[in-house]
Amino acid sequence: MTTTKELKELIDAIEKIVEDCGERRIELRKNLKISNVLWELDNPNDLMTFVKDLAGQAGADKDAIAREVKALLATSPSSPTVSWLEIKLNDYRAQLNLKLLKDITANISQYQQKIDDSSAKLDGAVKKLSNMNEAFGAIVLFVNLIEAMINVSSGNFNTLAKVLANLP
Amino acid sequence: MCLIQARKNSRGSLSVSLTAAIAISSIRRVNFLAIASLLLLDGSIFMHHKKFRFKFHPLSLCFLVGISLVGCRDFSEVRKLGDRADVIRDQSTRMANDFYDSCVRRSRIPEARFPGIVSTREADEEQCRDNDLEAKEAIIAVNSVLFTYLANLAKLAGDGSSVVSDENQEALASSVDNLTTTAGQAGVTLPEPFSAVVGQASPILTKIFDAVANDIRRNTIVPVMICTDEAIYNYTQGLEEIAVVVYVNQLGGEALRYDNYYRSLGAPALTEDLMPSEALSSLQLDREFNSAIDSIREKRYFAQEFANYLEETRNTHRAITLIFAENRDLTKLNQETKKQEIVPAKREVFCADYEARSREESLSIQLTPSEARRIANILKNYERTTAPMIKRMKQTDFQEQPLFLHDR
Repeated sequence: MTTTKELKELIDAIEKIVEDCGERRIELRKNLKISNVLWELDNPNDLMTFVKDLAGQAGADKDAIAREVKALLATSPSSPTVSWLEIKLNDYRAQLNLKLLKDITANISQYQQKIDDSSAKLDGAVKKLSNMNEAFGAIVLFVNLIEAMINVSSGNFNTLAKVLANLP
Repeated sequence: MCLIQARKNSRGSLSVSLTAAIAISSIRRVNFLAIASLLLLDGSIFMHHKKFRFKFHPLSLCFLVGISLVGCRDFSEVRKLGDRADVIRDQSTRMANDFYDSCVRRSRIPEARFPGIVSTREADEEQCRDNDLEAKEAIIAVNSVLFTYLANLAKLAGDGSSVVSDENQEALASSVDNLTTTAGQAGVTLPEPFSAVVGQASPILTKIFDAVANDIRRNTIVPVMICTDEAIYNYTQGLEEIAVVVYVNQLGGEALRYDNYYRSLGAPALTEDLMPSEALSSLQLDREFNSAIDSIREKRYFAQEFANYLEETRNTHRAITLIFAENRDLTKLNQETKKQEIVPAKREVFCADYEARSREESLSIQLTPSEARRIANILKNYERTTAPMIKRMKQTDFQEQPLFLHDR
């Protein structure tokens, strides 16, 4: 099983391989060593050797990279080019990057519950403060009620009716 | 809830007692002084009239004045930490959207020279929809955990204003005015001390409510920060990794594809003598390539700024937590760094105790003025440090689309 650290290293190594491939391709074309900038190879074994060399230089696991290249070549057009292989390796790298994202999110999920619980506690306290404002409103209602009762004692029921109408 | 009792006494007069017991069912932690004062008030108000009698207990005023002096230290400073939670929400959403867009942009770069564009684009875009769309949602979701926490922290800390709305304060003042007028018209004479207090009912009660509110804030914010700090510390490190590793990797993949395509297209310029029109085309290609790469470079800076912002937020949370922990005697001096640090075992006991209390009892945490000043300074520094980061993040243009997105 690949650790997050190993995964990061593999992603970096593939990036380096793709970059080196591109540079070598352009260099060879510039010196007219190859007839086409896409660098068509007649023999896939040459490509394998070439990529394994680059993997070694990038400090990656040569055999792992070779296995991946072999799998990619199995899906390749009839005459694969180095340019095509660069693109496919880059796509493979993107897949590894998605795996890395999953690994990181899985790793931090162990802390998520604690943070969520704390958010809920904070939210609960915010609601209490909101309830306090409502409780204050109830006191206003109470004062209105006293006034209404004084009025009632004088035979005036209007205020009481108003207070009762405003009861929640 | 206000408990209102109205009863007729043996002489037929109506005695009204008010118990503004703030032992509200949903507010379980209560400022003792506030309740004590209210209970005193409760037992002491009698109206002197043939029908009513009010008696004001002078001690109540002492308690009320006392309340106005304690519990005034609010947590509005802490708000500054959470106040910018929306930065995390907004900028992480931009980053997540661009994570997906980067995949789409990459898929739209031809695999070979024209006309190879049509053959691969559909399948590659499908891949983005299958995989990277989900990844985008995941990035938003993990960042929202931190955003929600900080936003709730800010909401609870408050901005220093009263927990009682202006509307309710004004309503009570108006009701009390009406009450005194009505009492006067009904021939009820209020004793001088009482009428003085009644006139101040709204501000006094507001003070009491604010004291209780501060109690709730103090007894929630402090333990929550102490008990969540470790999780925040580790969690934000993961968020940083997502920004500076995963997102930057995604941009790197896009850059590699631009590199692959433009190099192939520009190769003839390396080996052949170009006609002026070809040279112009080559120049145009160069500009397009540089524009795409510049845009990616800008987003890499953005990712770094976002990570820096998370780091500052994490460190600020830790610095404030440390002050709270010192207050609760949960720290020790690290002999090497000569700095205070939290003792994990002590924190564990503290947090277990906090959970066991189930928020029913007060933890009686009271910050000293010096601690409050230190917190204010930490947050001032946080604001000062993060302001340019926010500015730079906001300046990053995510709308600018490279060559192959003109048809979007």
